[in-house]
Amino acid sequence: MADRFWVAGSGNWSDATNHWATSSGGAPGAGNLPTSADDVFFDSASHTTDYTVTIDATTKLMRDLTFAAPASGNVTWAGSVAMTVSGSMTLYAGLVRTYTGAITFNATTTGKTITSAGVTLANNITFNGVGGGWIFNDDFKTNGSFTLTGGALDLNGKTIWENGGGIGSSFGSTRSIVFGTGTLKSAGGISLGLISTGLTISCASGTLDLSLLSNGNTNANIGNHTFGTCLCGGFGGVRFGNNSDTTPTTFGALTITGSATKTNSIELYSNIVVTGTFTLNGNSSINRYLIKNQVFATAGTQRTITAGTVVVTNADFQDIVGAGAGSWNLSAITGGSGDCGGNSGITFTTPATQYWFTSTTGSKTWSTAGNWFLGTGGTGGAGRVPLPQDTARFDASSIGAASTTITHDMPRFGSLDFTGVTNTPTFTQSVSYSFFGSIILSSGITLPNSAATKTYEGRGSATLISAGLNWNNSALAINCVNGTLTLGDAYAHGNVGFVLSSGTFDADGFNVSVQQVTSSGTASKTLNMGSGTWTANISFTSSSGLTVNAETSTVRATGTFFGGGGSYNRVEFYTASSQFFRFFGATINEFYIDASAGAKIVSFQEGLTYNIGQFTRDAGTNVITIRSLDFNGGTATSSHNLVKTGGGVVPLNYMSVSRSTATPSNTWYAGNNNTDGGNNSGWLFTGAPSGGMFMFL
Amino acid sequence: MSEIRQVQIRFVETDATHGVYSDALYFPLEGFESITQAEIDAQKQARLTSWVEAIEAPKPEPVEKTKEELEFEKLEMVALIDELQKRVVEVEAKIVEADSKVVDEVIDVEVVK
Repeated sequence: MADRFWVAGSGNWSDATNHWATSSGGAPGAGNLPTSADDVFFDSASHTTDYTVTIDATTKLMRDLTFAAPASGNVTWAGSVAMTVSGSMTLYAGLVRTYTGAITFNATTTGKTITSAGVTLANNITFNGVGGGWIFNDDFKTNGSFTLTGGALDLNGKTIWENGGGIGSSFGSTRSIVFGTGTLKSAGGISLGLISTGLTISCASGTLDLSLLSNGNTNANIGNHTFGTCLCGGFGGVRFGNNSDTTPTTFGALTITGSATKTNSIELYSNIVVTGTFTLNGNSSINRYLIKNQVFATAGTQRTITAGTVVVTNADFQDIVGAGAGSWNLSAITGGSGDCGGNSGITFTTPATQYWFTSTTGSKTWSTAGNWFLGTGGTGGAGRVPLPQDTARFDASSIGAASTTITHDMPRFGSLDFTGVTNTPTFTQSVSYSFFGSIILSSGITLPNSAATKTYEGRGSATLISAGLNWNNSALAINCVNGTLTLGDAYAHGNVGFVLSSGTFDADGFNVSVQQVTSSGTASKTLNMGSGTWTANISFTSSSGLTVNAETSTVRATGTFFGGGGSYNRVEFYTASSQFFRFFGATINEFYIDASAGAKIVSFQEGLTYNIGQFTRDAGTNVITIRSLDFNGGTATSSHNLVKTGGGVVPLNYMSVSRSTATPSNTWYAGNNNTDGGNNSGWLFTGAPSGGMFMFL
Repeated sequence: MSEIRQVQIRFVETDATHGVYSDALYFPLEGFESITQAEIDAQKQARLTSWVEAIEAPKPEPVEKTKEELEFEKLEMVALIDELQKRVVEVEAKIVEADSKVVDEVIDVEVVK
C-alpha cells in the first residue's frame, strides 16, 4: 500500500513515467503506476494551473481516489476507460468532469466514503464488494446507471440521484441500503425486487423518489421492501411494485401525481400496502391517471391496495381491490372515478349518459367538457367528459351545424352511440383507446382513416355496430377477460390486425374483413366465428388459451392460414399466388383452392397432419402446386400428411404434388394432368374413377 | 345505450368473386313503415359494394412503428426478460434443492456403510 501523486499537469493516467510520483510534487517514475492497494491523489502540486487527466488504456485501479484543485484553475477528469476504486472517492467542487467511464467500487471493508462535492457524474456506477460499506458524505448524482451488486450503502440522509441509467440491485451477493432520512431518486427506472434475496433495505424515514420516471422507463420494480415515503410522477405504463414474489410492497406514504398527459398509467406488479396515506392525483378530469394490474399478469388478476387513508382525484381503476381503513368511496371525488372493470371494494362515480351538443360548425374535441350535457340538445345541465362507465351519446340534437368534426382524444370511454345523429359529423380518432361498452355507429357519420387501435376491455357483454362504415385502418383488439363483444353487423377495417387477447369475440352471423387475425398471450379467449365470411389472414401461431368455434363460417385466407389447434368450417385460398397453410390438431370441414386467376402454390408445414373433410379446387386448368415447407417457410425435408375424413375421394386435376402423404389409400387423385414432384405417398396420379364424387365449384 | 327502438334487417348477398356477404341494416322503428323495399335493397347493395371495395383496395405500404410503439415493444420485452430471469432463479433454486437431496442421499448411503 502506498500513496501515488499526480504531477506535471495534463496527461494520460497510464503514463507513469511522466505523471505518477510517490510524494506530492515529487519526481514521476515508470514504476509508480497505482495499483488497487494505492491511494491516488490529485492535489495542488499536480500542476500550477488547469490541466487534464485522461483515463486511458485499460481499467484503472486504485484504493482511495482523491481529487483536489491544482495551484490555480481546475482539473478536468477526462476519458472513458473504466476505473475500479477499492476505497473511498473524494471529489472537489469545481472539478470538471468529462469522464464517462464506468466506476466500480469494490471495497470489501466498511467505512469507505463517497464525496462528490456537487460534481455531477455521467458514469455507470457499481458498488460490488462483499463485506464492503460506503457512506455518502453529500448528495450524489449520476446521469449513468447506479447498481448495487454487493456491499452496504449508507445514504446518510443524503439524496442519491440516478438521472437516466436506472437503479438496479436485482442480483448479487449480500447487500443493503440504509436510507436514514435520505432519498434514492431514479429517473431511468429501478429494479430492486426481481430477486430480493440478499438485499436489505432500511427506509422507515427515507424517501424513494420515482417522480422523474416517464414513458421511456420500463420498471419501478421495487421488491417487497418497506419504504417510508414513495413519490411517483406521471408514469406512462411503468410497472410498479414487487415482481419477485407475492409479498406486497409497503409504504408509509405513497403519493402519485399525474402530469398533463392523457396516458398516465401505473401497472401494479403486486399488491401494495400503504400504512399512511395513499394519494393518487390525476392531473385533471381529462388528463386522468389509470391504475391497473400489470399487463403480463393473468388477465383479470386483481391487485389490492391497502391504505390507511385514501386520497384520489381524476383517476380510473381496473382490476383493483380497495382495502384498508381508508375510505374507498370515490363516487364524489374531483374529476370523477373511472371504473374500467374488475374492481372491488371501491365505490365509483355513478354512470350516466353524457349527451354531446355543439351548435356551431367546425372542429370540436371530445375532451372539451363544455360539449357534454346530461340531457339531449344541451339540456339537463353540464355533463362531463365521459368516464369509462358512461355512455357517450350523439343523437339527433347533438350536432347543430353541418361540417362538424369531432376529434376523439381520450384513451378510455364506456359506450358510444351515434344512433339518429344528424348533420353528418366527421368522427376522427386521434388516440388509441379502450372502450368498455357497446359502440353503435351510424351511417350518418363520416369515419376517416385512423391509425388508432380500439380495444374492448369491458367485462360484460357489448355490441359493435359499424353501420356499413369501414374502420379505415383502426385495428380492433379484444382484451375483456370474461366479457364478450358481439358484432351487430358486418365489420371491416383496413390493412391492420385484429388481436384477440382475452375474453370472447362473437361474429354472430356477420362478415369480418380485416388484414390479419391473431391471438396474444396465454389468457383464456374464445373466437366465435359465426356464419359469415372472414376475409383475412388467420395467424394463430400459438393456440395458447385459444378456443375457436368455427360454427358455419367461411375463411377466405388472403395470405397465410395458420390455424393453431382450432377446428374450422370452410377455408378458402383465393388471393395470393403462394399461400402457406399451417394447421394442426383438429379438422377443417372444407378446404377449397381457387387458381382461376393463375397458377398457385399451396404449402403445408412438414410433419403436420391436416384432417380435411372436403378438398376441392376450381374447375380451371391453372396448375396448383402442393408441397411441404418447414416451420419457417424454408425447404422441407419431410412430408405433411393430408387425411381425408368422412369418406369419398378427392378428385383433383392439374395438380403438381411433392412431399405429400395422403390417406386413406385410393382417395387422393391428382388428375390426368398432373406432376409427381416426388417424395409422395398415397397420391394417385391419375383421374378419379368414373362415378367419383367430383367437387368442382 | 340507444333509447331509439330499431328494426334489424339481416341480409346475405353473394358476390361472384368474393363470396358470401352477411350484414345487417338498422332502421328506427318509428317511421320504418315508410321505408320502401327499394330503399332497403339499395342500402344492401351499397353495403355489398363497400365490402368488395374494402377487400379489393390496394394494400398500403407498411407503416414504420412510432416511437411510442417501439417503447411499448421494449417494455414488453424487458418484462419478458424479467419474468424469464425470475424463472431461471426459481429453476436454479430447485436444482440446488435437488442437489442437496442427492447429497443427503449420498450421506445416508455412507452412514449405512
